[in-house]
Amino acid sequence: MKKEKKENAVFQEVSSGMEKFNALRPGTNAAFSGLFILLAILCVLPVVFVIIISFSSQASINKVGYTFTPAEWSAEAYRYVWHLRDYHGFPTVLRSFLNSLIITVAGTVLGLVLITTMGYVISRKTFRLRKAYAVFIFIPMIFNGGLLATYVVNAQLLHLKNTFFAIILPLACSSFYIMVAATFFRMAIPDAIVESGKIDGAGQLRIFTQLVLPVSLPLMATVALFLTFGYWNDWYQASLYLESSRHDLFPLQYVLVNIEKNIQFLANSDMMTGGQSGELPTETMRMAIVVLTVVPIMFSYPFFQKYFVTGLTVGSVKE
Amino acid sequence: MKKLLCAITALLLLFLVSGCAPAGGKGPVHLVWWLMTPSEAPVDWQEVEDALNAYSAEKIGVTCDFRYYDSNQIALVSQTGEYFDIAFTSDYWNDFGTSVSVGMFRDLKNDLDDYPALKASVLENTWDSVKVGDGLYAIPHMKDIAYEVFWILDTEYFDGKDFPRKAEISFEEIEPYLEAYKQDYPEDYPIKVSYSGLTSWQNDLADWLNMTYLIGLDWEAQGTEEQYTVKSALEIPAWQNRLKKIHEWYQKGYINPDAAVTESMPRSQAGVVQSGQGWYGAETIWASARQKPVYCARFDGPDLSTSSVRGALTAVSSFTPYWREALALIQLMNTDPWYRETARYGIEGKHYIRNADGTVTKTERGNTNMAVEAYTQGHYTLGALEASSFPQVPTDKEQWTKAMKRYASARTSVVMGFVPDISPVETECLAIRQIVEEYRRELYTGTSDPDVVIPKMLSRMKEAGLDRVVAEIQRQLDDFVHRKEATVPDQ
Repeated sequence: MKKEKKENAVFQEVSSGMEKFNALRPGTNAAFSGLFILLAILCVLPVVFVIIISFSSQASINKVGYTFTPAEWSAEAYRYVWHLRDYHGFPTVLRSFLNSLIITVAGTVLGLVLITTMGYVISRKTFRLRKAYAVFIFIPMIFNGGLLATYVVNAQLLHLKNTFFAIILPLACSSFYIMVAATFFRMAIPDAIVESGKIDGAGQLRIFTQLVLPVSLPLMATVALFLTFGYWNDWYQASLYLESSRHDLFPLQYVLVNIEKNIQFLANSDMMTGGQSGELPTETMRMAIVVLTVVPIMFSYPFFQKYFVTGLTVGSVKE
Repeated sequence: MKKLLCAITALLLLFLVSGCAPAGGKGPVHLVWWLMTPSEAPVDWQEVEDALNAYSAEKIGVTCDFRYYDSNQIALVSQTGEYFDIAFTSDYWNDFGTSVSVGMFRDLKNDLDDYPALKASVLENTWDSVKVGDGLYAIPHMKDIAYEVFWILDTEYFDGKDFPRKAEISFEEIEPYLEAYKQDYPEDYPIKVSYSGLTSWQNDLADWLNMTYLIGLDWEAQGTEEQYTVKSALEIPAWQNRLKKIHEWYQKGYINPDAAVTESMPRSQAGVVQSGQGWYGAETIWASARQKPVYCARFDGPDLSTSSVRGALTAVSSFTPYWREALALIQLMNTDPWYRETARYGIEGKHYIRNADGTVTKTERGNTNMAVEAYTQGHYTLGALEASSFPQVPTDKEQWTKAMKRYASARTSVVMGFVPDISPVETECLAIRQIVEEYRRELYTGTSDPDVVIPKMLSRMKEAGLDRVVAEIQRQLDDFVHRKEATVPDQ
């Protein structure tokens, strides 16, 4: 009993000593906290500003300009976007949001499969065609066929026009990510893990899926994050490969880009031929578009964040 | 080299196209028609297209797939040789000059006689602008084809001040109007503009050969020995004088002082005196943009030039075996009121309603789901007009007959059909453009003094190679005039 107490006291002494050793002086602490709070505000403030502008009324912007305290609040921009309807009267934003969701999820999964498998293969020193594959993957990292040739292949040879494939496939696989994946597998996965699988009689596929992938979560999260952002933000593929009458296939970003293009066209064209519905909330609309673009993808970040952990392979092998 | 490139491109187009031509056989011939859109096709277009096709199939045995492209998409589809039968073309979308030089468009010189109604629907003096060499490659759309620039005046204010409504008020004569408003509202400005200055203020100050680099012919020199002398606008007196006037107004406080840094100025927020390119009758459109009654008075024009006509054309593909059907369909679009109105306004009752006086009013659905750039489809002058949204600004139902009469006798460029190729002097042009960009915001809004700035710009442009650019364009123009004079006796 006595001994225990003593040990405890020692431990407390030691740990408090450690804490003291690691502790910052209050002044320094305050200074650093202040600095990082400032940095955080610098990051968050523009977003808040954009949200506020998107909820200001156009009249208030015309009168007092952009401000944190608008003279008048209004959800007119959002109302306008919500009231855009497709042929059957379904809200365009919802339908295109669904399209974007399908494209993003399908594209990310497909891209992840392609990139990790290819990266793994060229990371294996024992693979005979490794060099050839590496060169094959390396070339498109520097050159590509250019817009015209790519378009001819996708649209006229493969007939991908007006399908989701035309939007998903061109972005699914990137040489750069394959190289990143290969480097990760080479550096972070000890050979012993693969060998242990071989000794136990596992095939290549089983080694890859059951031994390598579980310890590669940070890599997968990184690649998936980039892919998700890439698919979510992309409207260019849609503008190339979807006929402008196929509203049913438009992803969200493309719908928003089109609204922006319309605003610009109306603002620039002198002759507004045809009865234009007078007053579009143009400035607030731009900001509302930013909000609609940013907010959904913002929520995906915490999901990926939990996989950004180091030290997964610690203790998996003894060397 | 260029010819070789053209030949290869043409050959390539031919190969690509040969596989995709619509299969012949029984039933109506199905054509493809390229149209312009700033963003996307109208949401309800498919329904309208079905109605149009049912009509045209019965009338001329042709149906059509209308495809809407924005400016990026059209560059891609035309360069990769996608199949089409009919295409909208202009000098800003699906460039007419380039497309003709690579052989994309059919020479219609000998075909048009079989479509007399179509031929007759086009104003005679516009054909010259669509001729390249001795071929004729497109059909000009009848719309505001000559540059006319108007004052757009606030009806309530100026009627209240007992200013008589006049059909024409010259640029200088507007000054009392500005002065009156300034006296009544010293804190406000009668003219409120963005950094581009008064809308369309320079459209008629020269016969523009290239407006980006401010190069053109002096209208005043027409009929004299100097009529073919290529000049920089900076050396054209009319251009200089107008800028001096604008500067004077700026100093008197008639123009908003922050104009040079104002990005955009919608009509609804601009002042009681605005300007715009249009025609008598366009005040209904300007009123709905300003959301207040206005009337208009012309200060420039009408001037007919290559670029004014090339604003909207329709061409036929040189690779289509169905050029006869294509021309028949173009003729239907440009002579049949029902077909034209449906393409423009949509389904009656759903997208628009017909008023007792023959005008139409678009419904809410028509505004949101069936908004097209009507002038890109065909003649803007054909079919019912849109009703005015202001009782004080009635729709003039004779506006296009009157306009066509004015255009028929408009001051006409002496080099109709000539467009300079600036590629031999591209570097110099780029430098000139930089200089224009540097000064134009302050110059066009009256912020800076043209007496100081213009000589400075000119000397810098000369250093950048303005003389070489002018000489090159002059050489091309002399060539053009020479060839034209040589062909005249044959006709």
